[in-house]
Amino acid sequence: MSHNTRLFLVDLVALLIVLGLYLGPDFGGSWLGGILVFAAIGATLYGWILLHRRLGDTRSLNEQLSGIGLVFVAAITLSFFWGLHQLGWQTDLNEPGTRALGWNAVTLLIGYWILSAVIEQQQRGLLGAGGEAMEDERDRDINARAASVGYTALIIGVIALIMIIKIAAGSTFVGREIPLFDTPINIAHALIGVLLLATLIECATEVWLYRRDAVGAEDDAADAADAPKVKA
Amino acid sequence: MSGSIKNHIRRLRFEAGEITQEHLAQRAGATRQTIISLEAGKYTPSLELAFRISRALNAKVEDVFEWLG
Repeated sequence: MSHNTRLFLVDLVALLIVLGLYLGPDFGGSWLGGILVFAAIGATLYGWILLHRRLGDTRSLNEQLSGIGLVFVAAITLSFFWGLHQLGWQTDLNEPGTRALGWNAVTLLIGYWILSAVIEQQQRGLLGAGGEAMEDERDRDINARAASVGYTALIIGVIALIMIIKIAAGSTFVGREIPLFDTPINIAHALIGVLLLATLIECATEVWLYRRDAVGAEDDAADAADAPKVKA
Repeated sequence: MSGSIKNHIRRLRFEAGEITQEHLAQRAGATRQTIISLEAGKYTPSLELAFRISRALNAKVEDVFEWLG
């Protein structure tokens, strides 16, 4: 088994552990569960760090982070909405698993942000010492445009949520009262859902902007790989 | 945006001793992916980066970048 295959398997197992923990029993508020989640995210990102030198032939660090961010946020969003679906889109604090639903999603999201920021700073130091730029104006431009799209999505989502709450409160649909946002916990879960969707849109926009500019990159990368390497 | 400005980075790279995209990126303080995008005509640099690339290639900025109007 090659080195890269082993790293890929470590990465895959760590991701499965994260999803297993999330979809598994209620561990909200448990120290052990929290530590396991952060350890699993850390293992996933560590596996990626070991692989990123190979990815670096065609993708900048920011592009790699945006790619792994999209996968992470998509997995968290999917898990969150699957959990809501399992609860019948109605959340009651007395139901097992309800408290963990939003807690897990927010914990995983914050965990990813913190770890990716730490890794970015660490890699900035390593690559900066070698004379290679970590990010440049193109990365910053793409980040700013993606963030702008993300914030716009968040604002639209929150406004839409407020309008739905106002419209849905006390109204009826096919003779039945709409009970969707009638409790604070339901509103909290709806807000978490909007936050997750806005983050997902931001990550997807970033990946799309990077991929849009990447036509022919592989050929040029191969060209550069053939040329003599310059030592820093 | 990128359609109105053409660049000769790829040709000048080879004329300047076949320096790699990686080396040019290091000299210009950019990432190699940006150099790749520039050579592919997918990205138009800022004025500052244009000057840094020109200096890295020992060329005048008007020799590296051409405004097609």
